[in-house]
Amino acid sequence: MIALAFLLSSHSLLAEATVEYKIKAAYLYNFTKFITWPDSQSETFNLCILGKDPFGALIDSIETREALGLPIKLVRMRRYDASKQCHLLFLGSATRKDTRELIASSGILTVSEKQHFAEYGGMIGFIIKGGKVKLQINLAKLKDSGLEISAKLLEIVEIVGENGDG
Amino acid sequence: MCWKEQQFLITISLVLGLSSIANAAVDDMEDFYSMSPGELAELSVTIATGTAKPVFRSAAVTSVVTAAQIKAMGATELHEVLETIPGLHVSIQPVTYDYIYTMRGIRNGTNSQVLVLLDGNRFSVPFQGRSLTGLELPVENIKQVEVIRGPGSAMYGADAFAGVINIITKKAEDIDGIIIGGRIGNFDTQSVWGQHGGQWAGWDVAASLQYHHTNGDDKRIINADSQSQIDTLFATNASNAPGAMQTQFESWNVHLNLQRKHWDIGFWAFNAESGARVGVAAALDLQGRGDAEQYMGSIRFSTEDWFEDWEFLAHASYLYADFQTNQFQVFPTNAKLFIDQNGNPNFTPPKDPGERRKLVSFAQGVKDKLGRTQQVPSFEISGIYKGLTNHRLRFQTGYRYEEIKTREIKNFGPGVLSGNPPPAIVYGAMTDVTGSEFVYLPDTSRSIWSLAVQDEWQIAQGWQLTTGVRFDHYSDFGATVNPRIALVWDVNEQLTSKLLYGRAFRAPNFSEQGNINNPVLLGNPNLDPEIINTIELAFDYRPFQSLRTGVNVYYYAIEDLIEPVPSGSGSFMAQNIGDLEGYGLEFEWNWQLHERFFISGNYAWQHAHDKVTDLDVASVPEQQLYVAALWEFMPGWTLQSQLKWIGERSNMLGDKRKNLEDYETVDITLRGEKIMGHLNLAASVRNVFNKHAREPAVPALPDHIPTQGRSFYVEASVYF
Repeated sequence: MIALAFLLSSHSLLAEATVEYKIKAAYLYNFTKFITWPDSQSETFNLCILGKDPFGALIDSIETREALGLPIKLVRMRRYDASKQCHLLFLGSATRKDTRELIASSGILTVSEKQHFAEYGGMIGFIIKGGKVKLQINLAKLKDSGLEISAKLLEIVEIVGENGDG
Repeated sequence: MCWKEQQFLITISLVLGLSSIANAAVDDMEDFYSMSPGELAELSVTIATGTAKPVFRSAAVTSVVTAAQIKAMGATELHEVLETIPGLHVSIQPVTYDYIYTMRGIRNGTNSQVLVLLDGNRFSVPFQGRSLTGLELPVENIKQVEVIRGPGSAMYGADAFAGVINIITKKAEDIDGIIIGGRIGNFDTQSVWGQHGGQWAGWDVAASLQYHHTNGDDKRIINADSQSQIDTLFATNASNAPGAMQTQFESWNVHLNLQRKHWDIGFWAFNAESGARVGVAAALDLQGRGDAEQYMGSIRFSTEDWFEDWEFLAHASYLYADFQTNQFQVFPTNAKLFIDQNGNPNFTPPKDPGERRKLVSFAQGVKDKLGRTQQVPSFEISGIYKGLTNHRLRFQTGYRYEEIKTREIKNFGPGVLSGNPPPAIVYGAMTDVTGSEFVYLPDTSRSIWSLAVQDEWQIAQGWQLTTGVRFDHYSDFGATVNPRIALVWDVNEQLTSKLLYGRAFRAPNFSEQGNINNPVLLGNPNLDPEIINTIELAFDYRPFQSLRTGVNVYYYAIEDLIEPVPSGSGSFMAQNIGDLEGYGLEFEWNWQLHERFFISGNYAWQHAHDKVTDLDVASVPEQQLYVAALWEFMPGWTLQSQLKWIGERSNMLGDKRKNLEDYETVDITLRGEKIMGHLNLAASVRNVFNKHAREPAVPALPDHIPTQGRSFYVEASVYF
């Protein structure tokens, strides 16, 4: 990535807001409305971004909003840190090892745009289909983790994993 | 209103304009937050492929090909990927018969007018300013290929002349796990590869190993070669023609990458053994082998978030390349040649009646075993300053050292057959001329200092001005200064326009400067760099979400082009003599017709004119067309067919060979991804209609070079 940034450093608009990431950021916010988390002691709703952050500054204004009646706090981390008490974890650069470890920890909604993320044990994967951002959800994993999803959100997603056809 | 007031108002309006952008961004984002999941699912992203976002805004005419696109098109080697780039045609070099990347009608025999970078590291070697002889990159470890069509010296220095190709390799997160794959095809082709991406001791680690072997297409027949013509002259029967080009090839590639915060460390090793193709003197050589070995290491350090307004980067790299010919026959067994007083074969009639020539028979052929070792250490420091609103400044200084050491053992030429009159028959005994005045190129080196500054200025909403200049000082030919300026304007959501100017240079290489004892081409230590000035006007138009189109027109003028000039007694000397100009246009499109159907392609037209000879530039296609259609007929399964058409190439003046015919190739690739979770399968037919096309050859060959015929392969890989 450094090499790419090096080459494209003449093209600083690389990280500029694009429609794709605005849509994805808005989805993340929407998940807080359609998914129920188990009770926690946290004073903030922690939206964590692990590894590469494709959103940049465009997602920052999400901190002016609330989720589960708590102010949303953005937490950017290079390595996963359990002490940050993430509610929603976006894996910018998700390795399957990360994913496997996170499945074990309950109460965290894992989201990534990495290919086949939901099929390989993540919960929600962003995929581009027909030029649109669609969702793949691994319902079994979501339920195992103690999260509940509203039927309204399920209407528009593709279910993969054990209960799905993926 | 006085000037100062005007200035003030402009400043104010800029500030206001920009603050309104910031607000616009927030408002815009708020709109997105208020949408329901159902509404979000119906919005289209900017580009159909969902990738290559920065391309249309970059301050250059740029193309990006991703790993997914490379897989879909069925390419297995880099040159197949490059052939799909607008205005780029892959032809064949004389002498080595490696590939040449012709861009916008700019072509030179050693492919040194295009800068090739590997993860941002200069990959070419200084002997001829191009990749090491005999190396060809396989694609399995390529994450993406980025091509700047147009000048890049203001940023990258020498040889970013016709264009820049940057090959980005896969990192740990791109591989993420273990991949093992293999491929078999006709011409006895086998490839295997293994890749691993994971974490170790706090580092992201990627490792890759690739092996490739092919016997080459034995239907690429050379009906008559340079020796055939000599045979006719002396009633000998030495030529190996008709015979097949010796395109057998075997290669190993190793790559290791380590990344963690602040650090990026890369190591590459390449090893290739190839046949002599048509032969170095255009005489088929059935025994000759070229051995190429190249190692490169690179360490980058970035301060990343240490400072608020500054980011500093340090980059050190080291390139080591070794090339050796084995069993090379310049002319075949029992060749009979006129040997002049230098001991070299000479094909021109003696000018001076007293000039001594002797007809010599080479019982074991004219043999030359030559080698060279090249080393290029380099170091760069750059700083990026973000402390000014609307400006992003970049400063860079660098040092590079280029060195070559040569070796040669041969049975002809100066120091071997010069001096005393040569015997009537020369056998296979070889003389080592390494380190003597008789070697093909003396050991040499040079050092290069550079300094570059660039400013990216967000002038107003949608307007960006990039200006840059780079100073390079070479210890041999001196200094050169190359500026560029790029204005990018987002006219509206659909349309982006760019106006670009750049000056670039190509440094004379060691071969052009220092060739000695060569029967054909002699070096010239007084060469200046070649210079190109280019103006481009480009538009990127996205009329609706699923369609992206791009068009650009360009004009360039090249001065001091280095070309061989007859220097008497049959040899040529490199001189800054050429003066060219060219113009043209490139048009490209990417269209997601349907959720499962995608078409893309490009068309390029160019007209390059040599102002010295008043002739159009020969051997380069005036027109080319590429069209690809991708169909995802089942989830995970794609079928891509593609066509490339090469049109209107003229012969050089006085070349009486049949003109180069237009040709088209069609490739079809079937690919299934993630079958049963872990298996990828592919099958591809290349050049489906077995089109026997030709690429330009040196005049010593009675016909142009035949290209590869139909080939096919099947491939499988597992991912776990």
